[in-house]
Amino acid sequence: MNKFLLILGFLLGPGQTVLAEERIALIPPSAYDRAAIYLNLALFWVALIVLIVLIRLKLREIERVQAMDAGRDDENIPMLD
Amino acid sequence: MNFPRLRGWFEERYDLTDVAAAVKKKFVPVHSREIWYYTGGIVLFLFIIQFFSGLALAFYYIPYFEAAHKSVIDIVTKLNMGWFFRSLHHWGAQLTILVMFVHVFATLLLKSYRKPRELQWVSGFFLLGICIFFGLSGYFLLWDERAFAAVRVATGGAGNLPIFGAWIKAFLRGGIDVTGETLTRFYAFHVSVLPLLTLAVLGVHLLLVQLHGMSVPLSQKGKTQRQVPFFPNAFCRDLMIWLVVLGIVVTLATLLPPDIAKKADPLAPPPENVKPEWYFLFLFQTLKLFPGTLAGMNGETIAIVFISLAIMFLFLMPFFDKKSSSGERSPLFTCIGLGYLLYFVVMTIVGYFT
Amino acid sequence: MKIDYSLVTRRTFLNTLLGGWLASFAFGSFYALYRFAFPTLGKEPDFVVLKPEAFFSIPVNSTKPFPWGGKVGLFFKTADNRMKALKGVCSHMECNIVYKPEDRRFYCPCHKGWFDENGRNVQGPPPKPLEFFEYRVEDRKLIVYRKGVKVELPKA
Repeated sequence: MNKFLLILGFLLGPGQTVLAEERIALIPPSAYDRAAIYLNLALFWVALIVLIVLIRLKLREIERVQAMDAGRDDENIPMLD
Repeated sequence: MNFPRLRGWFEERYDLTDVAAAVKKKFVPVHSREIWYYTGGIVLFLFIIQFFSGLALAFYYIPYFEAAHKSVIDIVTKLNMGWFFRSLHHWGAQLTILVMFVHVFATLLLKSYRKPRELQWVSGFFLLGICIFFGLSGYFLLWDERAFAAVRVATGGAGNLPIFGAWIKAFLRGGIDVTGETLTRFYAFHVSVLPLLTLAVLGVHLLLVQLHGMSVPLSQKGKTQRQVPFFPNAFCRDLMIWLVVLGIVVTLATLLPPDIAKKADPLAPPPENVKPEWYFLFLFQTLKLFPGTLAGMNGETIAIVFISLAIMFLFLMPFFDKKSSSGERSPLFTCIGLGYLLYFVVMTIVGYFT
Repeated sequence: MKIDYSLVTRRTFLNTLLGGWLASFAFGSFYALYRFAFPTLGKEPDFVVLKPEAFFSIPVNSTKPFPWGGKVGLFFKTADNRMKALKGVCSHMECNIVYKPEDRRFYCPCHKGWFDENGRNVQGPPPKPLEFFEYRVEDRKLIVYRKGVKVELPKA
């Protein structure tokens, strides 16, 4: 999260670019800003891959339970709550 | 994390057992071609990304021709993450159209359009047209030289249709020529008319999927069908694929932000070697193939008629392809489908490199 | 210490892990959208620079508006030829106020509030007096600034 705020802080400050002739800077030119963006991208991919792995875990668990045919609860199981 | 009391509260008021039972009955066939089943879902997901990123951009974009170009530059330079959302919207659009074409050709070559799914193909075709118009109208909102020239050519080309052409051209342009009126109109299309149309037609398209189930390719006929429940098995797979697609779009958006050309000047000549967006290139090349006049008639009109007929034929494929409708293999139409695909790919590549 | 029974079921563990991660992922993604939707909220400026000729020559017992950030400021020449600058915004609900020369008072039309020449709230709902600024002339520039602010002009 603080990476986010770092990026925002720099995009608002020195990262702003001026319309010079017809070129505008599309990615902030300074190395610090660029590094922050790439690092953020890497963190995003890590988070994404962890999420995909967790979903796969869940899927495998479901398939395991389905193969055992153990999925459904009985209708009238006495519950404590 | 079961929240039994919350569920209890709900279940005391709403009896959703029928809905739950119906959802559990949805099954997805498993076979060697099942990867193509996921293309439709990917297009849907990309549409949702476009919806949200476009929604964000609409907070700051100014649809008045004097201010439009500058407002895009302001979004890109002055706002928190503005460059990212514009880039996301741009790449989302490119991928949506690309995957949509993949989806179209997959359903074409796997003959999913055959009976009983003809209306599925028809509604899908409308969605294709809507999507392309989304692309054209969205691109125009930049109000830069390239977009201006592209829309001039596109609406001019549409104007060459016999009978309806002039009317369509006037409707799209909002006048005789491409002006600020056109921008206002295209903005209305892009943020209001087309999204509503999409919701309606997509609703029909998805409903038909629920009613028909997934189509099994003719090549799998006769083999025993293994099936998995859609919820949660195929749904989890969908989610994982969608997350990968999200990663791809975000990566492209971060690493390759799009630029913007000079502000459009209606009186200036178009820039050198101006080309439309890649998904129009095959049409552009086709137009170039036809000479100026052919047998005394306007070459462009003939080209447009030819293209329209080809599109019409594609649209009516389910009704022409009698063999696959009765469940037999139809190699003729496979060849026709492959022909369309090859023409599209080759013309796009040629258009890109000349 | 080894316990005989697991505290949570496998299903609960997986669901919590997945749900929690999904929630934080979604939160992070929508946080970007949130920051985008809330632009840098404009602060009021500490000072503004104006042209003195345009303001010193107004008739006695009148006001002339000037921009104060997004709000309106009023340059005020009183009936006894003293010059003041104030924020032309009512202290009640921030409507723009107007000077009534006949009454020598400021009037807010939204809820019929009145302020006297010194900005004190004398009638109606406004709870506080008007905010007055200070001003000075430097190099042929009229600088209107909030009380207590040290003005540093950028070297143009």
